[in-house]
Amino acid sequence: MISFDEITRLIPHRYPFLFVDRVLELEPGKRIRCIKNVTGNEYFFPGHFSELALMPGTVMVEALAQCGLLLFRAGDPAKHAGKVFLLGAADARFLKPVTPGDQLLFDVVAEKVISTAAIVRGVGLVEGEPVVKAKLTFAAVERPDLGTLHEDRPA
Amino acid sequence: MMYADNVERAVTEVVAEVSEKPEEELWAQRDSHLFEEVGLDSLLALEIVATLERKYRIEVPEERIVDVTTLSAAIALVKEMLREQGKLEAAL
Repeated sequence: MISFDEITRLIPHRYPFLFVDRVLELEPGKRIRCIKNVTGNEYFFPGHFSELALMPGTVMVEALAQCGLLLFRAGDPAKHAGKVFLLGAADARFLKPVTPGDQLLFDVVAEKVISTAAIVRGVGLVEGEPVVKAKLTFAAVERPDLGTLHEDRPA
Repeated sequence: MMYADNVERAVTEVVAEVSEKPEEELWAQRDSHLFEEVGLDSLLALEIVATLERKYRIEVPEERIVDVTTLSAAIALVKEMLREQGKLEAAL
């Protein structure tokens, strides 16, 4: 089990953009199981929507991405040391609405991992029923290389 | 299109789906470089390889993924992996 405090030492995400509360199970480099307790106090509910609180699907995809990141960071930190993971592609399906009071259980499995990129598949469940499924592709890039992404941006 | 065997057809279908390019165009330019956008090539190549691995139950070593620069190269790689496992004849 990995606590919330330990999670903040493994990935750089913080409030209001950290969507994993606890890691329940971890097979390094293979699979991870995490939970996110959804409360009525989430910062996004006043805007999504004021009279009908629904967790945004994009936030669930981000939560799955953070689980994937934890899978790499918690399992074998040396393998991708000094690298930043960028989400390159997401293929997602949203199956059921998620509302305050739900507990999201995320199961994320590594499909293909190389030194410069990774593909994971994840599912989010509420009370055993799938609410979101996604295939996520990450690029693992050296932090100094990130500057080159903006070389062509006009001043 | 004139595919010589089922592997050529199936690999072209996979590359078309992942790269979001028409099969006809890919097949006509099968010896041309698949990826032009710098930085995106490794992700698309990895997606193509991962899909082919699942389809054919093969495992492509990391150092061979850089070989997937053209559709012809992807077809040759799959055939090589299948041949090593003695599954090429059945796949054709």
